[in-house]
Amino acid sequence: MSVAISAGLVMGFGASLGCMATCMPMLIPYTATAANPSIRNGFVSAFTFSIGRLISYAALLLVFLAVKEIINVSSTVVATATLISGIILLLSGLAAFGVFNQPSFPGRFLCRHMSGVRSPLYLGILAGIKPCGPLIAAIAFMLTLPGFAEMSIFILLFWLVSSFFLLVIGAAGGGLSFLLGRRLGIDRIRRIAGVTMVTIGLVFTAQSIGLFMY
Amino acid sequence: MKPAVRSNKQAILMAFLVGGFALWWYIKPFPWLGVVMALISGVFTYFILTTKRMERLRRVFYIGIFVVVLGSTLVVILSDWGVKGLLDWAPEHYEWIEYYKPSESLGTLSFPCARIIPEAFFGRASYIPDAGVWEASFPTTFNEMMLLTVPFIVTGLVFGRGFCGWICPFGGLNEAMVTGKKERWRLNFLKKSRVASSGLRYAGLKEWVKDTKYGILLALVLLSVFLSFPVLCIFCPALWLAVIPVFWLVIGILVVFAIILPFMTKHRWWCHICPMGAVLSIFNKISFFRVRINKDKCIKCLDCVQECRMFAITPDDVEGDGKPNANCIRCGRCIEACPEEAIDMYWFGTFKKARGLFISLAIIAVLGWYMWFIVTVCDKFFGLF
Repeated sequence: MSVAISAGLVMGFGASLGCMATCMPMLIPYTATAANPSIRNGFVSAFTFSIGRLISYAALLLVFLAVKEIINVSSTVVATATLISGIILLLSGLAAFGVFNQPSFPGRFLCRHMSGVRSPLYLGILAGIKPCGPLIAAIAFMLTLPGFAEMSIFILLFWLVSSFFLLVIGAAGGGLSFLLGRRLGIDRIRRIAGVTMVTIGLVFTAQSIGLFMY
Repeated sequence: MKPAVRSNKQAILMAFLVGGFALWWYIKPFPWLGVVMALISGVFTYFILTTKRMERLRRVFYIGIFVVVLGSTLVVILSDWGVKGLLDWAPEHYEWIEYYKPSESLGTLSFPCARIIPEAFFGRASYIPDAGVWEASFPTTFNEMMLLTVPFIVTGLVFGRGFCGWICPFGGLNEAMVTGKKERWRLNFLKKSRVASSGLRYAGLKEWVKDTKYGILLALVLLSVFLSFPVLCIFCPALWLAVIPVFWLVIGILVVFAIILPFMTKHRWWCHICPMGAVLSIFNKISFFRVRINKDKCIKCLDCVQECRMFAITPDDVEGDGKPNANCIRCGRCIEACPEEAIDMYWFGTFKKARGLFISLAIIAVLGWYMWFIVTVCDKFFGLF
């Protein structure tokens, strides 16, 4: 058990900076588009996002346990996950401008749902589907552990420690948005974050089309 | 409009300063180029400082920058590589950026690299005429950061968004497109309309349009971390070419915002989405030179409001503190449009006129920043001496 705990902590910490860099563009704008940005709201967004990643990790673990080996996630799956992430970011960005509040907007219900408070969760799940090198290494190590309890402890600690910087960044983003909001106005911060989401969403969408092509 | 300087003597002095800088700066690659550039820049400086139609000369100068930058890039691509060679090279370069070691030698480079331009600016990259390429080596990460940021910060502090009105090559493309007066599209959904106290109906930009550039800047900074690339590389066509859909996305945005919209509306829309413009807008508040309205002379005709291509002066600014907003690119259209000569460029926080010095420094900055392109294009066109 001690091996599982120490390995989970060390590998999780090693992966944490990479996780932060990968997830920051998706997460940071969310901390600013809340109705009342604050440290708490930023933390909640980051935590919801991390829960999404945990769900994906658990699903990947079950798949790898079922087939008893590490398999490469298909490039089509990665491309699809990138495309859906791009669309969610686009919709969330447009929602920050109040586009979906207009009754005449077609598909209003779906768009509002996708861009609502649960979208960090969806993005977390989609980010987890695109496993990075450290995660693959962690799962490879986990498959060498003797029992299901050790495996669960290991992946839980890996997730917790690798999420540490995300939670800190999320909370800091919320706090910064709060401070900037007091100076520049919450609406202005929401608008800027909305444009950021639309831009990143467009880049993700274009990138996913590239992945589909090759 | 009065000329930018008070006397011919001042204009001649400024012309000598600019010409002297050009001689010193360009004599190292090719001595003949130093002499030619000194003559051209000196004469041009004299004329732009003494004319009463500054705007026309500024536009010629500014569009010329775009032509030189685009021309040299195209010449290099077509003469050295060809289109196929470029398409083959781009993905390799993409991988190289991803895995480069900070202090390794870059070797030779014919493609104008945004990261190396400041190195050329500081004399850290040198031109090899026999090969027609630049040789540079990547400095260590901290030095590279300094090489990139110091010139930008100095330029921002001195010019603010004056960079967008006098120095930026993309702005030159916009400027070429806004030629003429006929506004074919009004784009009212991007504007909020109001009636000024003088009775003039004025449509300024909506708040979210003004903030768009800041959102795009934040997105690029975050993507730069995500992609592990320097922010500057995100602006590089070599990177866009590596992923073809991204290339077409960027080209589409460029065509719409830098060509179609400016041509149809006679306003510079690219500058409202440009992330570089966002950084410089922040610098606008602390930069050395300011456009201001002298309230004692102003008759509130609002000609300046009508003339501005950037929606930078509103009736509120004219009736209020007399300062344009952060979108002001110091192009000088309002200065020329004012019938009472109530608008001019002043030193920060004073009413001491500084238009002549601003223009001279802008020409010096262009000579410094675009050395890469000017040397390359002169070499390719005129051969070696």
